[in-house]
Amino acid sequence: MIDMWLHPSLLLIIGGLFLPLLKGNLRRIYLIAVPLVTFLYIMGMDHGTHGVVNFLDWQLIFGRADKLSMIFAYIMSLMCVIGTLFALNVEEDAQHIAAWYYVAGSIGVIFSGDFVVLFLFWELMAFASVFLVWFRRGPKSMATGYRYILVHTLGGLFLLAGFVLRYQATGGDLTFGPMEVANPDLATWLILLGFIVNAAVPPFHSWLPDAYAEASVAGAVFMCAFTTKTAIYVLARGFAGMEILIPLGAVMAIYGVIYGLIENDSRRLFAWDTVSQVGYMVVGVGLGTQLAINGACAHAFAHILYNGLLFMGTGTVLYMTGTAKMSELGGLFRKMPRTFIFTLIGGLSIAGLPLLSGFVSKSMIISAGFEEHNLWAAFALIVASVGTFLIAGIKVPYFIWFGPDNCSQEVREKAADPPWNMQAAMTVAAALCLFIGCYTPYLYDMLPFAVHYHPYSAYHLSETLQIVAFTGLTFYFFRRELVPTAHICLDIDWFYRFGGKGFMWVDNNLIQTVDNWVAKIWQAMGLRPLMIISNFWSWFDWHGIDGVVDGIARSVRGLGGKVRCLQSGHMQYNIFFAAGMAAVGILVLLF
Amino acid sequence: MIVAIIEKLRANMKTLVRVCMAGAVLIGLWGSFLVDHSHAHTVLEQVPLFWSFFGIFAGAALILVARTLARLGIMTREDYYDD
Repeated sequence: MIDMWLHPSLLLIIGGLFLPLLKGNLRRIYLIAVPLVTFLYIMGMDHGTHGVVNFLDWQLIFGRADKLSMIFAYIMSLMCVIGTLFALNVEEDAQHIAAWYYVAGSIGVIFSGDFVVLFLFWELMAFASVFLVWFRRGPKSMATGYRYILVHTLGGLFLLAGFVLRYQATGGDLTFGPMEVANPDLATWLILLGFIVNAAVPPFHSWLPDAYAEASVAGAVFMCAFTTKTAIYVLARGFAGMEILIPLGAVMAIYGVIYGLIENDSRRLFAWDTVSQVGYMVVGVGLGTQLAINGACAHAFAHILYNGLLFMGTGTVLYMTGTAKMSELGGLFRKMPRTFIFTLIGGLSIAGLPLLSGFVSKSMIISAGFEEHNLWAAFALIVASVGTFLIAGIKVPYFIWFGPDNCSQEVREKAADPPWNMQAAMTVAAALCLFIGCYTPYLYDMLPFAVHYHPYSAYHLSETLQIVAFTGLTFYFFRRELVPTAHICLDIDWFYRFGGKGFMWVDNNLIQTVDNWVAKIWQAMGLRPLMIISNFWSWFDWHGIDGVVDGIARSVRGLGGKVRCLQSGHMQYNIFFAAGMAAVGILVLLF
Repeated sequence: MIVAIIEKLRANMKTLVRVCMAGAVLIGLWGSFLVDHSHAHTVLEQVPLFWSFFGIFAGAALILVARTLARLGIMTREDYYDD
């Protein structure tokens, strides 16, 4: 039985197929229309279970629409509109198609009601998004893309193994819903592992700064929004209240900002900040209370917008100047003032300043931590907020647009605010950051549970403003310690990068040597005796078998020649020989 | 307009820094003595200027840890993986 519900992912998937047929202004209109129609379609979607398909022995659910899935689908499709607007000047159709398929995968996961559908869209996300890395076509893009897809394949295998084991243990239940977080079995752990690889929870986080910094300018804007937040959605759906997520999320939040403080590449810095911000959401899921889950969802919503804005801002710097490294930039406020304002709004939003989106979202998670008496987790998240303000609110704006001018002549000449579509996309994202921060019902009314939280209390305002003001002073006094220099930061990926190199060394040096020796031994002890035996049998065949056969043939031929002499053609001789042979035969029989 | 405002602020950098510092102190005093602390999460927060010192010490600690890790070898040359 299939009801006639249209999956919103299909709009993007089918829409992508027709894109190469269009040119010029029609193509630009189409590029905006397809994600916009998807967004409007999701906005108008009824709550309930849609798209139920009976396939073999399974009941597949493509469209579970409830408050939790709707808020994520809403923001994902909205970000697709903003991201496509930002990428409007990208001529490469394949890049738009990859981005749309990536979003389609994310929306598919969000609406999935069972593990089979979830897995299908999960893999679509991974395999579509890797092209956004490869389309950068930089010297490191190919290797980075392969590392990215290998890590996500590993995560996918965890997930696959987990739900297959669960299918077996439950006697065929594929439904995706709240898991046994109190007494997790092996299947539950494997599914959790699959999810936290995509959420970039340490030690599975290195793919994120690796890939986001190497993705194409437009690709990074999409990548920073979808994979980790889709993982937060599935964690909130399946693992709310799983306590192990609280320390993991707190570690993420701190880990990300520490790396951000010493990072030089501004896009990689915001990738580290993404790890940190997703840490808040992971803590929220781990706390599992209504306030915490609301906080995780609200922060995911806000994060998609301001993180997109930050990647648009720094992506614009890369697009216009050719570099995103702060050690090669500085003093660009005269050349790129609008980009500065947009990036600053994103940076202050992520830092959680009042009147901006981060203030009304991340504080819900911190409050939930205090309410649940997880004081160390709540304080860890506030420490991470301090770090976030240092790196996103001050370090990046300061060292790109102010600070020491390290621009080369070429960078200085090329620097300018970007084309209208990129500015329009940043305007929309920045306006939404302000709108969410100023008008909380817009976001709070979409959250899965009723909200009884008021971020604009005098105490919360004074707490935030004190932290911000004195963190700002700390930056002022320590700014020389944070001057970006041309370097990279080593991380967990060191192990698998060198693990890969080590494997190749073992393959080239040890396995290849053993293989050569085995070949030589086989040649000496296997091939040579085999050749001797083969030569003998060849000789025997030629001289033995063939000799016997040929000898018989020669004898028959000789006998035939003799017998032919007896065939004189005269009847009387024939009768004489026949009668003679008959007599001889009779005598033989008689005696 | 944006550029003009920034140029003006940069031209008066010393004044700007002093105003920011004074503003920070005022915020600290307002938050510590004029705001109702009944919504504080812990007893520690009753300490005057708690969140001001939290901002300073947390920021300084993060910078210190990051720089220490950098000096321990986390930061390395850009072509490290290219060899």
